[in-house]
Amino acid sequence: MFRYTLKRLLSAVPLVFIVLTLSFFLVRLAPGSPFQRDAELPAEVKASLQETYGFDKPIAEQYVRYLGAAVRGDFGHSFMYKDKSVASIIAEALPVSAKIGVLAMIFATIAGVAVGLSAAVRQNSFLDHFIMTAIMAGKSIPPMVLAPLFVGLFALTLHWLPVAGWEDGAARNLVGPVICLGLYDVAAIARLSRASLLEVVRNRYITTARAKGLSEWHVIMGHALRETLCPLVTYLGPALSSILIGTVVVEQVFNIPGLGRYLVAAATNRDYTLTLGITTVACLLVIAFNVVSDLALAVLDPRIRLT
Amino acid sequence: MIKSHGCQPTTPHSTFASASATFVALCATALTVSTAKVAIAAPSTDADTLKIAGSKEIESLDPALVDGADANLVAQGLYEGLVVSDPKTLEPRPGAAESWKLSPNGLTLTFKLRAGQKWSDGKPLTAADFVASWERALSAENGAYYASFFDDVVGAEAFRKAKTAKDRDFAKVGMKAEGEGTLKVTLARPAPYFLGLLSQPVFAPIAPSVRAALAKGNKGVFSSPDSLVTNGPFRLAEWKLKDHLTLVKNESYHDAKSVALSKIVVMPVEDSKTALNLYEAGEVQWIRRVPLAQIASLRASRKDFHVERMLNTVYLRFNTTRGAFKDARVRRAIAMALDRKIIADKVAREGQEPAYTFVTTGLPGYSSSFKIEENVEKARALLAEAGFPGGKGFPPTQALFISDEQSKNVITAVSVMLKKNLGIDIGPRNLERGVYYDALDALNYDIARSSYTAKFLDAKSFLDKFTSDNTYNNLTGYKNPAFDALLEKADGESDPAKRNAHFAAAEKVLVGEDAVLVPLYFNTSINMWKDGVAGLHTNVLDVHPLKAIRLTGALAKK
Repeated sequence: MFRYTLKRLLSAVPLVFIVLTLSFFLVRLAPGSPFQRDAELPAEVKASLQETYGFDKPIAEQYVRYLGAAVRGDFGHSFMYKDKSVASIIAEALPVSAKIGVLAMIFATIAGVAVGLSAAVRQNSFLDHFIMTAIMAGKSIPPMVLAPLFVGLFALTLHWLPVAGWEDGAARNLVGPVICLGLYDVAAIARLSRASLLEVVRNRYITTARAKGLSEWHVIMGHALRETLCPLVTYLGPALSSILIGTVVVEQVFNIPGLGRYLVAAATNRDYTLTLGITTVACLLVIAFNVVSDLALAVLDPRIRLT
Repeated sequence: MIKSHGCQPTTPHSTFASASATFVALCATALTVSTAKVAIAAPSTDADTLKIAGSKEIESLDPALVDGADANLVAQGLYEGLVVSDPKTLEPRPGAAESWKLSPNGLTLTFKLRAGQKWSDGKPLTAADFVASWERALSAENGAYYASFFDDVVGAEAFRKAKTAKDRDFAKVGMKAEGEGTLKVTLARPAPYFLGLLSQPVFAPIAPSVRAALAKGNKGVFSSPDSLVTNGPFRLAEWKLKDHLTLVKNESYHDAKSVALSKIVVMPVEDSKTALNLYEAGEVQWIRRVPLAQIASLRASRKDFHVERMLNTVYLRFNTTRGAFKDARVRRAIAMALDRKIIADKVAREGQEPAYTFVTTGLPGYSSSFKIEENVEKARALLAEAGFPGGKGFPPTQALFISDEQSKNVITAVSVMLKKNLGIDIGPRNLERGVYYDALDALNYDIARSSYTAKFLDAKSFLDKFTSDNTYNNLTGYKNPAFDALLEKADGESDPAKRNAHFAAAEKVLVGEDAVLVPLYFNTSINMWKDGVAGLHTNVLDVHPLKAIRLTGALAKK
């Protein structure tokens, strides 16, 4: 397994390189300049900015310089937030997005698996239909509708929770974003685990377990659950990496200083350095979580051999 | 119930189902209990702390790079220029300078600094600090957005436009320190607004320690409370990007005893609905933006909703170098064919005033000498005269605007009016800000929706954008020596009435005759603040010195 991990991580190097190269040229192909403001800049100021950021050099030279610095972990200074380096912005924002993302995933997994298994155990019953309908409804309501409704009910009407804000990740500030972010995945995970359990119980070893006279609780929790979770693990890896990059809508509604808000602002304002920095981090996260989910799968399912 | 295949008969297995149902119920209960608990533990607001929801995150606190309403608000709390603005009238009041004298010819300003002034680190502030900071602001490599504010000073324009550092010499610029406590500024022409400009962040003094850090290449010096030394009523205590920025009272400030607030928290809130929610829940006491859809109802029902006209004009600009728009008759026809009252009242809907001139109403001492006539018959006649009777043969035209809801509505209304009244087709086209300015820069457009806020209380602020040599602001290709000459005349005139008369004549040429731009409406500023916030006043520039604000009544007791 060690060899496998090493192999996967090494194969990630060219991948990161390709992503970095593509993004470098793509952001520059986008029309508009990073120095454009509501008021136009005087020519001499524009020229001096071009020079400061090395835009007066040929693009190939800029690329090599950027790559050289990026390898050393130096993503330069943000164009928009001129007093901050890209690395310091990511260092501040990533833990925020990560905290909400991980909690949302834990919430989604626990609630999703519980709901999905309940539905599966009572397949085609009223409970099953009810749960599946509720889940479809839940999945169809996007966060941009759900989050304001949540704020309206729990913050403005019942006054249980704050309207917005981060407060260094205080528990009361986390509830809203975590639930609004997690609810979509609750639906996905519930559907997945329901389908998966229905598949698994058709196996002969379940029949054997039942034949031994085990209680259904033991059959499911002791024998079926492990295999049921396998497809879930493949879902969770990519889902977690995308949720960690932050989600614009939830971050905006709850005014949370996460990466999502930066990415949107950076892209629309042509903040090249910040856009590239966040893209690189996103790329690394996707790779890392895919490796982790492959490893987890091997642990869960002994039939899988990683080579 | 799970139906498994195979020969074994299925039996109902309800144990697991009820177990998971219990689990879900438990989860739900746990969640409710925990939220109920944390709700009780809500933090209370400190006394003397003002919380503000701004709109966008501040991009920089470097005085050269301060831009936008929120950055200005914070910068004017951190830095104190020679003068500060009166919160109500915006007139210049003594700031770091306790007094000043204007020479009889109106060209030399001599400032006397307050004695014993200190930076927030306790070190003395001197006239030399001002001069060094001004030199920095004027040096092109520092990219000061508003360096042109210095242009009325002798030698300043030449200094900032120098190609390299070798081609310039600050000794030739009319800004000198005389001893530790006196500053002399020599103007190239009489500029009655110049004194007021000195309250702008670009003229703010930068502390010696900050300048030393900048010289060493430390770009982060303006964002860290440890390194940012300032001279204003407040100092930076914390800045977490996209979260909040905290200012605390600067005890070294010369007038610290009259600063009432001990702490100010500014939250950047991009979503205007969230801002309003924060305000309604009492988590902030002052907001500067509300959702477009709610403006009408808030305006009608709330006493804490403050609308004020601004020195801001929303207008259409033409590319005067392209196709049909080369012809002033076409441009005039478009200007005459619109119904501005409908655009302001029914489309923009923020209490804006229809604009029949470019320079806003409410500018002290100035009144326009013409008014755009709205007359569809005349507009049709003009268009026919230009070769497009009933809009026949008019080239397909696009009107560019920067993506936002209100601009979209306004441009759509304009295009409907022009179709109905003149029979011409104008297609609205929304663009990202950068792409929009690229198009304008390259004169690759027909019509564009623009908006301009005056930077100082003078008609010049509106009009000098359109001179032939102001290529970076003009963006219309408009060049008219008669217009340039009128502005030059005004610039050389020291009598305020005559000066304004020249400006009025220039405006008539620009808008009335040449119709390079079509004013639509004058914008308003919107502020909501709680009852107990005192010392806040609306004004035409929507600037609010933080020093004057205090909390009273219920807010102060919290």
